[in-house]
Amino acid sequence: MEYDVLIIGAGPAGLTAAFEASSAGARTGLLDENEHPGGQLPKQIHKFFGSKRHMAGMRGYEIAGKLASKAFEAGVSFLPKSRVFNITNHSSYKEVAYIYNNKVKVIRTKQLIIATGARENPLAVPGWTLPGVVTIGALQTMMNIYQVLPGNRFIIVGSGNAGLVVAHQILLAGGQIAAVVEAQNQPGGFAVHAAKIARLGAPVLTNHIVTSIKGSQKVQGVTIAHLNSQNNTFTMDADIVALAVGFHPAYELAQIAGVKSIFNNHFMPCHNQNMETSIEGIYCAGDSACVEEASIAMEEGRIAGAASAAKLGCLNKTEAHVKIAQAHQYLNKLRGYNKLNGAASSEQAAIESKTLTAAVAGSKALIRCSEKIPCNPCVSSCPAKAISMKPDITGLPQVDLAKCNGCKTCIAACPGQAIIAIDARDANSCKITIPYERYPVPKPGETWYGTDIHGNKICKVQILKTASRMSFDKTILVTFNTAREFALKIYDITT
Amino acid sequence: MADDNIICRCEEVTETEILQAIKDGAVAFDEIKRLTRAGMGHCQGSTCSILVDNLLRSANPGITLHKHTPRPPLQPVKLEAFVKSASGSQGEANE
Repeated sequence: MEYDVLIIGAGPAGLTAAFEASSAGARTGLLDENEHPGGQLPKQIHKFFGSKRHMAGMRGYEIAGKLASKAFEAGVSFLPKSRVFNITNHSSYKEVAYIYNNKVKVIRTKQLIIATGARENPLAVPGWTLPGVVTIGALQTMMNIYQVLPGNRFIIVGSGNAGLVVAHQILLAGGQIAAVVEAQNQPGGFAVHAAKIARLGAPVLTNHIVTSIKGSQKVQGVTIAHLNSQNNTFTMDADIVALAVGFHPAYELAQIAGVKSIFNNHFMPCHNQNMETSIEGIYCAGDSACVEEASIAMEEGRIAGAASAAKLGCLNKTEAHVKIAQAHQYLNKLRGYNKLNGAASSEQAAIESKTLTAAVAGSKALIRCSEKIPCNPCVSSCPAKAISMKPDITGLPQVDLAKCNGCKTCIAACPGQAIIAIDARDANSCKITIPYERYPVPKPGETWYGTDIHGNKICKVQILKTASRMSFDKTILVTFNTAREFALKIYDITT
Repeated sequence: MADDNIICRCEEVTETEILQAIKDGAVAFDEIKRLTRAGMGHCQGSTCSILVDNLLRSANPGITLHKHTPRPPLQPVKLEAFVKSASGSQGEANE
């Protein structure tokens, strides 16, 4: 017997499970096919949504580092570059076979946690096997791990968070978005992600589908059809088509061990409240249990880690019970968001004009976040305690304009880049501060253009100053001067 | 979808072949696998099982799908790797 608890997959679920099991005193091993821990987190260069408990506000690759060092400090042994190809279930142990350094290795463990993440959905439109068709995750790996932008003009199929986030990163990398094509009547991902690409001028074609991918030898374009009108198809040039049509649990290892599946839109492994599957001593956690997101994966990992340690007697039952109950409370909150439950645009307009009025007395924060997503770094970042969220993390942030002292800390803290500050002390002009994360970086004294919500140039702006601090984590705050009438119409700037 | 559209890339099985298998009475991925070799290649059906299930569902609305049966080795393992491990001590930790 080599391990009390062995975890397969060192993403957010696996790392958290490993930490929990190891800190309870279980001899814990963590296997991963990659050289470095973190799963998909190392390629996530954007700041994460969520709460402090899940390290929200930090960039994905930093969260990977934090989770890994926490696990390693707790005594977890990490087995990198190990690809598991078989699991066998015995009455008192599980046997895991994997390849390391081109050799087959076999280890035994009393408890096994499968945290092998998700796989990307394919979309078999004609032409999908042409070179230049990639999945969105593969594209993100090329760009953010290997620093390769594989094309110039991109079409993204699907506008969930993955599609929107990577579309934004393509724009940051200097690529062009021909279109993000979405079959539904609105973007599938968070509104703040959609807003980020919209204000850089990238079109999201809702109610449209890609019917075929064209090209000889490689991708040259796509045919797109409007869903609600007949005979309305058109072609669009592109050299890369990225498929962002969702994910499904990758839990084949659990299946090989004999774990039962259920079908709910996708196949997934059966598991109970402790994340234990239909086989005693085999647990699942994170996207391999059900595709959700990183904060949820961490909580599920915590449950699986605590439950497996408790079963071995490493963690006393009451302590484990409290931990698991608490994790379930967080899971309920994280899953409790309601996409279209945000402030109506008229309410947002009222907030914006109220903020402009209050800004006559000095700089005030304006939050353009109108969806009840589980995210609150703005609240925890505000030193003046001027931002509140009711009833909990899935509420809408509200700024108490009397308390807001214009310190601008929240602007860099917001992972959605959805906060700006307005200073209207001057009677004719307004100073506006926005978060900025791309090249070129504006310099004080330069004249740029203000752009509207769709990325159209609407007026000239004078760059006044740029600020960057360690705590902003590479986000630059750009302050510019503009005519008062444009104050609430500017969403971004461009050269 | 075009008739010659490839569904299983590893084994180059086309949509026409899958639809023919469904017409011939196949009602589960594993049956289609045995008839066409879809899902028997390098990736073990990790991509095409979703596509084949979609085709099964559009041909028989309301059908109960059955998860495909993955078998070990789940990833390609060179025979050399087995030989190497047999000559070394079993269960040694990664060096």
